[in-house]
Amino acid sequence: MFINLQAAYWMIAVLITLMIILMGITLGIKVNKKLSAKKENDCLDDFHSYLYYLQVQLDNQAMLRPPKKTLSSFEKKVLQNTLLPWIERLKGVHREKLLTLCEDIGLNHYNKRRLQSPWSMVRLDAAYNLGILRDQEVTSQLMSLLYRSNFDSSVYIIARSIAQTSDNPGEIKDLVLYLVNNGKQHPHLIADISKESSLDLRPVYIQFLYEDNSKLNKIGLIGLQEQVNEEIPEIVHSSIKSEDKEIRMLALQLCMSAMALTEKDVKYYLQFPDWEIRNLFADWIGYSGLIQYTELLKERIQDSNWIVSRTTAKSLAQLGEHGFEILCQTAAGVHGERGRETAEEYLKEKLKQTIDNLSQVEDITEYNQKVFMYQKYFGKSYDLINAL
Amino acid sequence: MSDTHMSSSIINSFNNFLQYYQASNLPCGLIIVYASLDQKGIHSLKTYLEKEEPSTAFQVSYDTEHHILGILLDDCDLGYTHFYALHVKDYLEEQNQLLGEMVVGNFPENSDHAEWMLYRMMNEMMINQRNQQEIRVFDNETIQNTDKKTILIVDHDNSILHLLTNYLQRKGYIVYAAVDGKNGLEQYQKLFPDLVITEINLSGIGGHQFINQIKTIDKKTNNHSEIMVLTNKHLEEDIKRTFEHGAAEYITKPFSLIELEARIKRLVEVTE
Repeated sequence: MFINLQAAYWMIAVLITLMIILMGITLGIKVNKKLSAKKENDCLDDFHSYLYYLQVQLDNQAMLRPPKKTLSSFEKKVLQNTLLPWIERLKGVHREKLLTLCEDIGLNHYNKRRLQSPWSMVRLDAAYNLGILRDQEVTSQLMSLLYRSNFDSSVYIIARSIAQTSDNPGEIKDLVLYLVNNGKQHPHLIADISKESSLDLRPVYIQFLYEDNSKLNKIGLIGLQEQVNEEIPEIVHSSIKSEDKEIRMLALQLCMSAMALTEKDVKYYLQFPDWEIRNLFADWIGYSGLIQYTELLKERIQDSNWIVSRTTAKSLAQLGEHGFEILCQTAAGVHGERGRETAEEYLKEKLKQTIDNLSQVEDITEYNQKVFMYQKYFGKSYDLINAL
Repeated sequence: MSDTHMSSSIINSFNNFLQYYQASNLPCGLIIVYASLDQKGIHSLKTYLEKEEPSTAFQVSYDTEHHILGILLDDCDLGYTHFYALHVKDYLEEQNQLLGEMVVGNFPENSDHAEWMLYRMMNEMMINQRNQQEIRVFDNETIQNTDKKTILIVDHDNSILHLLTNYLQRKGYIVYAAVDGKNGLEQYQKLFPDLVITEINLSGIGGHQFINQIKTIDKKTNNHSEIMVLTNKHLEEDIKRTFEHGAAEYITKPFSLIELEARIKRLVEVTE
């Protein structure tokens, strides 16, 4: 009994000591954090007039000048924390001016030194900053860092910096191939990373379409969406027939953006067995205001899939007077029972929505036209009109 | 402008600047500052400036009665003059001789309005009598405050707020800032600005709801403010939806300040 009690005392003493040590460490971290925040604020106060000079003279033709005094590493870090967010938010001549200023301040050199640090977090932070600084001299170093890194989410940070700094489309191609071949399976994310580059990557994306790897095909198709051109490579048309549904959808979206589809194609895809493709086309016609295809939607509103029918109703309402009339006709059962309920439901919603948002003369005219059309099929005594 | 605020002796103190400027036919930078100096202090300042920026020729005048120091820089644009003023500020602060604000301006090449500009700079300084030891850039525009267009910027991102506030103020706008939709609406109801620049990703009240509420306030008060969206959202769907809510412009980040300014001008037609 005595031994047990003594052991318990010892245990309590050890636990209390541990608690005090942990509390001491936590307190130490908090105090340290507060002190460094204060130090940073004091440093920012010292730079207040200088930062005001930068913001006000950003538009001046003359170059922005770095601070005259020699900056310590801490001061560079503080300035970097302010300047890099500006660079990220701006583009054009003002961004270029800030990039030159950062170079003059020595931020590129400061981060290049940190890129050699034994600490992986410091290297990663330096890689991120060098990407924003668009330092073309470090691309090969960043590539080496990428190849040496563990294949976790940090590779995306390094990859993004490579895309931002590279001046050679071939390097971006290597980067994408490396990411895909080493198991990174998110084509949208990889395509987004490649889009950080200011280079013309159209030829690279087209090359990806001819690869056997479906991930690369997808990256190529996503990349080309940003660089829509009337001339769609022939391979995109073959991709529409791909067995991979995502590739089919991406290829179609690309053709839609480039307006590279004939009426026959549109008709064909509106009747495609896959409901998601029918839905995509029904939505696109309304969204892009393609009134020439209004009549084609008459059949689609009667689609056996409720989502396609509903999307078609929404698109018809976006296609002017004629589209709205088809919607009214369907709701009134002129074309039979199929789709009638969906059309009626959407019609009620639309008219209520329109009256809630009336603000300008054009809105009122549009609303009156819709009500006139509605009354043509449902008469004045209809409950919706009374409700309105 | 009232002469009661400024005796002619001050202008006389700086008359040599005008004579020099007119004879030189060069653009000149001008720094005016409240400072406490004696002959020795002026000499030390000159030595310091010659050492720091040896390639820039300058003239110094000091009005002992009003404690106003003037520095005229040869062949300098406004950007460089502003940068040079940072040296002057550093020195005066270090010597504990800075008494109030500093104003920087620039006489353009062959201007007939140099005297008028000098007079306005001095007068503004004496009227304002600000104790803040900051540098202010003289607004050479003749737009009265009442004619200036007002802009309310709503964004959670402090970098954007600071950058745009200072940039647009320099361009002749009166700028207010809010960090969220709720604060944005409160300010909107007080100010009724000519233009609102807002992010879509806002805390509290979302961007679209914020725009809707502005439209409702406008309807009730018979007011009309243009709305410009400056956002991280790039999707076509977001752009379409935002225009449906009544925004007049949609700009995505990263953005060009030149494009932003051109679109602002188009919307509010600021007086040139």
